[in-house]
Amino acid sequence: MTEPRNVLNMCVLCPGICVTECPVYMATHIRASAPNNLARIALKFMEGSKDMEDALWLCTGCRSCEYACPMGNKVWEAVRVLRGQEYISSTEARVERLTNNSKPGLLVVSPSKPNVNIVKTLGGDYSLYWVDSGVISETYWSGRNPILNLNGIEFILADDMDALTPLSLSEKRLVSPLKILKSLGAKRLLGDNGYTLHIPCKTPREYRDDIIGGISQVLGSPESIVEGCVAGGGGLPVKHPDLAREIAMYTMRNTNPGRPVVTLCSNAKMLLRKLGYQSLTLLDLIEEAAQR
Amino acid sequence: MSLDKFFEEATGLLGSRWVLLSDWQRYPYSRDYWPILVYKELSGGRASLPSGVVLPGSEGEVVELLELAGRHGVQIVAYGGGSGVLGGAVPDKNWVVMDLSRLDWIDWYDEESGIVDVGAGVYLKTLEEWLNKQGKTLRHFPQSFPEAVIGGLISTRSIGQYSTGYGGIEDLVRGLNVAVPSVGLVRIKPSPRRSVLLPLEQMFIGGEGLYGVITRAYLSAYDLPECSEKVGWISASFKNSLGNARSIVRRRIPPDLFRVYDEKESPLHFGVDGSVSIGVVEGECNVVEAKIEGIGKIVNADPWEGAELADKWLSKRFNVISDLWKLYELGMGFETIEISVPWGSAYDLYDSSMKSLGKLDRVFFTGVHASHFYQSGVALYYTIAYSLENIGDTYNSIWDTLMGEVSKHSASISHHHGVGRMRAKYLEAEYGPSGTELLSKLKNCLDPTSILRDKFFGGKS
Repeated sequence: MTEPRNVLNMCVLCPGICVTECPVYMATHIRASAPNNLARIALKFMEGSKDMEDALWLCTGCRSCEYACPMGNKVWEAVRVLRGQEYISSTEARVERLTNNSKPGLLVVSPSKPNVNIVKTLGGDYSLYWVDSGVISETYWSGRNPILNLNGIEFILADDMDALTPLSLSEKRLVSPLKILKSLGAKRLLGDNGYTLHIPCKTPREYRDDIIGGISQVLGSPESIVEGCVAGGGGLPVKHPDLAREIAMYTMRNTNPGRPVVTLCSNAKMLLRKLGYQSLTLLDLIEEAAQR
Repeated sequence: MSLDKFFEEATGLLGSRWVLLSDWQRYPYSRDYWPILVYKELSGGRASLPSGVVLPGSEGEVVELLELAGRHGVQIVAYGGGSGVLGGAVPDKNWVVMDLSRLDWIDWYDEESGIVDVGAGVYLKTLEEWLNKQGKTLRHFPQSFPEAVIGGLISTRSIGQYSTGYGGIEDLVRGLNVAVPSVGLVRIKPSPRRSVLLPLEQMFIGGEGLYGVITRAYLSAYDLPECSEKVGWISASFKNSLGNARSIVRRRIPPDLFRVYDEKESPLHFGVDGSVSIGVVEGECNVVEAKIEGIGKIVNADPWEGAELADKWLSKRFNVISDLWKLYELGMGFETIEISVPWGSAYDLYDSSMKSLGKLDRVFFTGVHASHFYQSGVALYYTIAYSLENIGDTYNSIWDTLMGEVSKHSASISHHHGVGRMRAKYLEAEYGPSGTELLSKLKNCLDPTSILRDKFFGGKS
């Protein structure tokens, strides 16, 4: 990544082209959370003003500011580094770490067989065991689609967040949660009253329509679509739980609270459940459908 | 003055969530976008923090906070988007910032009349998006479009890139609510026009929060245009371009967005020699076509052929950071100064000021474009790049030089950025001693205990 000081300095020079894109600022009115201000504060923190640290935890890492910035400046990444949170930027490093920390036997799917074979699910953090490729490969995925080559077959490893990224939509040989959901007939789980679809903030915008189209084909058209940050990430819900609720309520403000929310973000799901929403990820739907 | 008492009572009024006292909460309010403070911060300097920040959630709370401030001798500065470039929202150490961002409602006041009712803290971008969904627009696009809020735009008498067709913010404001220290909440109902002594809503447009705090605005929205066509052409010189622009405006067929660049800026922005003019013509398609044909006859060129010049500018019009960053890496700072001048002295002022600015030490580049046009004159926008070494001296010499030229040519010291802290010392050059005294007396009448600060008069800042 770019040296944090350069990233932050660039924002000091900017009047704040991204501020209205920041869900934390728009929901809470806390000006310190607006990315250009957060950058200024982060610089002071780097220079030794430790009393500025609370502000660093106002960022969910949703990347909205990066998408809005003409320079693609990654304040969220610089802030994450300053918070002491590890950010693993290379696929190899991710896979190495995840392999070392994998948990056994949570969900097993077979990429080469048309029928999904779920061995067992345990909930919580999950590992994906990709079988039937000659070698049982054990990898854990944590958010960025590592691509593995196992026995000559490339797999994209995806959890809820990135399950429907371009690669998993376009690569027919890859197992996509949508294929699984379709085969399990998961649509019936949502009932007849419709559902709200939450597209997380990090979803690549150029593939938004493909993603919504894919989900609509399998689960039916959503009653409403919510795009953006529900404040699940970046440590914000832990450090500022009340603000996390404000952000979630702000993001969900135009939705029907009586409808289930299908989200691609497991952190969002947890926060929404605390707010009383019936919230499910695609993997939850798979699990439920398989158990029925 | 008792700040402690003020904050104690403000907390009772607003709740502790909306009274900000810790360093990280106050730091964002230490400056606006005044370049001298931006560069100071980049060089490791630390601006003074306000003593605290209050965020009222209603118009009533704004009035009560002003009353509290008066009772405890506290000075308040209203804070909108923080995009002002002259230090108008920069607080002194003991001041309290009133952040108006919670006044964020948007609703129709009268949809049939196209009048929208908005809180002072609404972001212009948010409002424009809301209107666009309903086929409407404010067509108010200042450079600060992404970060400016309605209250701040009105307070600084903002203008946007489509001004030639749609006017400035003063043409959009139909009514206002303003919290005035000596009066309370003044409610000026929306009206298409009125002739009732002083038009009170106009009194506060450009008041920069000195006479009252704007809490609500009633704004006129337009229908989105049927057609929007880009045009452009190149003239041999800026002098020719200005002459053509004057003819186009006088014939009442100007592009709604209209910009004319001098021979310094044209190569920089468009990679061409000469003087570039670009525009966007909007409205009913047949009217648009007729206007463009008329423009072509005046400039002796086919305006459609230069559409890509306009495209190029439109695609990056809100991106200032790329250029600023490149300059900063070269050790250079950046200043923009806008003035307005009658046609009769426009080119003379341009020519004379370019010579004067060109003689300054540590000034590497000065370019000018004209981007707001009137029957009687034009706004000139200076862009100046200078060395960050000895920034204070250089910065002041740039301003003194240009304001001296403005004074010499009977031009106005500001077209749309306002006064803030930076222009306070040139105020008399605009209104003369008696005009400045009148402003000062108005201030004393509306805000007798100077709750809303008095640093703008007499160059005290």
